[in-house]
Amino acid sequence: MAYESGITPMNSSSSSLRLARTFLRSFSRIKSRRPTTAASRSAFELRRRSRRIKIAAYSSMARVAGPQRTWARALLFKLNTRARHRTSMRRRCSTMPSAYPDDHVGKLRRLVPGGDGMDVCTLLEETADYIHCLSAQVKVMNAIAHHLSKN
Amino acid sequence: MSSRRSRSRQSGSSRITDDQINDLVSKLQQLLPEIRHSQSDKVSAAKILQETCNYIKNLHREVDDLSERLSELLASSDTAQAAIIRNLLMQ
Repeated sequence: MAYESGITPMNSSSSSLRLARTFLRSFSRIKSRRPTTAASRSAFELRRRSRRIKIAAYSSMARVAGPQRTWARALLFKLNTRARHRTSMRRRCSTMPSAYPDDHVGKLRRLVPGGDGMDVCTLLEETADYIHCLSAQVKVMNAIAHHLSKN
Repeated sequence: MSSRRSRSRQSGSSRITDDQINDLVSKLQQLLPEIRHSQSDKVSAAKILQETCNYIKNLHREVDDLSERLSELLASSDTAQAAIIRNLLMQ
């Protein structure tokens, strides 16, 4: 995959479109693996599938953002390893000095993938990009849900 | 990778200044629907960071909810919706 957009922000319409396509492609694959209609309605199937949709959502976001983003690399790493040890996510204490109350910066580190190891400036930059991509992803999913429930 | 990162830090400014951080914090403020239109000097940095955390948590929750919603929509669907998804992909 080419990342021709470089480090331009996520709000350009072309990257929104790429995100929509990338997610839809994974999403359609989740659908086609459905064995039978009866089985697809069971609570277990619903949960399993919504988990897979969620993973598809986050991984689409990260792939479209590209490997130059620390949060995207960290998110993909987390998604690739979480199946084995979901609860053993390590939480490193950061030694980076911070100009603002530690609890806010600390909270942000925990919310932004890969935020643990960043200095404050990088953390804030990555946070802005992460929010951009996350809200674009929510828009895409909302649009698909709207589209599917109409029909 | 770590060498590249440390080099870029040095070539920029070795010390992070308050101005740089204030600039980044006000950029964050522009992304937050709750306080986007407040005047930047009226909102403290701590408040902006707190709102940022809340906003990210909300977005995470929305992704959770929408994943469940889409899973349910797929359950109630039939083969016609495979075609709809394909159509969406073509657009």
